[in-house]
Amino acid sequence: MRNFFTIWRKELTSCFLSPVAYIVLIVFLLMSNWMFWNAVLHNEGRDEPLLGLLTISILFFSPILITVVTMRLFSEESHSGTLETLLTAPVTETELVLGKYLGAFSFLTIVLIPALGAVCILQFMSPGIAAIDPGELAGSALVIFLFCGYCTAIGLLASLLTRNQVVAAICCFCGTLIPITGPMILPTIPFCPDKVVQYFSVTDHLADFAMGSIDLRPVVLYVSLILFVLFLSVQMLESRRWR
Amino acid sequence: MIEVENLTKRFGRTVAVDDLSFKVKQGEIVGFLGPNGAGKTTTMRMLAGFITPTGGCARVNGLDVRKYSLDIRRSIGYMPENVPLYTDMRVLEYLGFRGRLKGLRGRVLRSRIDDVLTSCGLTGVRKKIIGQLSKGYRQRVGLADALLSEPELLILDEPTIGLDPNQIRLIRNLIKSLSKKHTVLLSSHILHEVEMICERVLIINNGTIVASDTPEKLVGLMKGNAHIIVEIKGDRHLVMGELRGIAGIENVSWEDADGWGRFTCECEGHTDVREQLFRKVSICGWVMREMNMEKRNLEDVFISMTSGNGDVQ
Repeated sequence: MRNFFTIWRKELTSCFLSPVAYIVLIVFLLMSNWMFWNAVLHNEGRDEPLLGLLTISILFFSPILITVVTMRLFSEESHSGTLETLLTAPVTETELVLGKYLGAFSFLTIVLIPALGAVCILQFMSPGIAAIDPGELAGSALVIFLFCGYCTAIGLLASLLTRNQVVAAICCFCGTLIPITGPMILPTIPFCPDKVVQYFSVTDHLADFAMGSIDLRPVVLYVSLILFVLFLSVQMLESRRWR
Repeated sequence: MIEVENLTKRFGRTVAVDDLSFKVKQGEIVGFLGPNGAGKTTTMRMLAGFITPTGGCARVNGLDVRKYSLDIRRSIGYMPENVPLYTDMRVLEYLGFRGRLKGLRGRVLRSRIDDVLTSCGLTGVRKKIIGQLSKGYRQRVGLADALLSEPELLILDEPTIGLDPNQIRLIRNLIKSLSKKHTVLLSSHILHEVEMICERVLIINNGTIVASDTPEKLVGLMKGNAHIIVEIKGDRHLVMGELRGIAGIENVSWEDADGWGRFTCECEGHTDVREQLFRKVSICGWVMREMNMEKRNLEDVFISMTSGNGDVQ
């Protein structure tokens, strides 16, 4: 597993070597905070949980953030040929996939923490608003991280499918948009069971966790989805050798 | 060191490598030659564990590439064609990353990096960003990476492609110096290079081995081992008739060279008839301004083996 740490460290540092990462970081924080600010002003005087407004703002822009961070993971390596040097080094496919995944996820964490911190800043600036329960904040953060973790795994798989970064970006964007918009569109289909939709709906999970109702089922769902997509990615990478 | 038996690789319907068999002994420097698309890179990739063979068997150090890919990758240094590198990293950072992937840590890693930086002439650019380096330096970074873990076997895919003559000489000397410690399998299009560096040459065409021997023996297989070119002032037909009469000369052709006759004498086997030729010119009283013996080289062997014009015995 030592190789995993080497790859993880390289991935994380390479995020900061590229100007794109800084641009994305700033744009994402500006856009999500701007949306959150507007939502707070719009809902002034209403009984709307602040955390719900914040997590929706983050969720709204997360596909763009995740797409930019993950689209290059493997497609850039395939395009430039460095995948050949990686796969001929004594590294297993699992180490490579996990290293890259956690490298990208670590960068997302660095971006998401200040985004989530916006609510604390708001509370500090206007002490009059309702106090934020730390448990509720932790629950919302958990759902956001799990969901972004799942989308990062989808992005990683998309970048494995093609050596073209634009194609990888489109696949990744669609792949991350489906889990967000899917549960909103599915109820419009006749005979679609509500319970199934609810079980997969990230907005429902966020609403529950933001109200302090911690449920283990979404956690299990996201963790198993992440593991499944990463397993698929390892298989994809291994299959390259056999082509 | 390397044993390849009936190795086959198919990409869909295309057969890239077809029933290939060869062996490379420990400490040998073997040149892998062949025209574009002959299957050199595919074979090297299979040996390096990047792709898996469709059929047959390839063993490195007695280990099957299919079953023990990871163990084999620990014992080889592979430099792919066009040397892909992370262009946003510095040379030191890159070698550090690659060294750690190859299991080197701490003091050992630092000393190995220093060694390869010195041997590949990279000390002056060690803090430079790879993307800003010239092609020659990038090639050397690739070679330094392959050498990092002191592998028993080095697989170098076109290590001198795109380099200037000075850089080629440097890389050539470096590879030659490696033969003491390492086994080297290298592919190249520069046949002169291969002739100078390699102890043995494998020529591959359409996925199969068409020749395998030392460069000297392969050249010896060519018909009409040598050509002697003489420039003589004299009657064309008379000179041609006299030259044909010399024992050891098989055929004579003529062409005009600024009023002088340029006669190309094709010799039989390995016979050197320059002395007889000089005596004949002297007896006949002709004026001669040039005599040159052109030996067949590896390029002739390569062309005849891969274009199929049957010039080989």
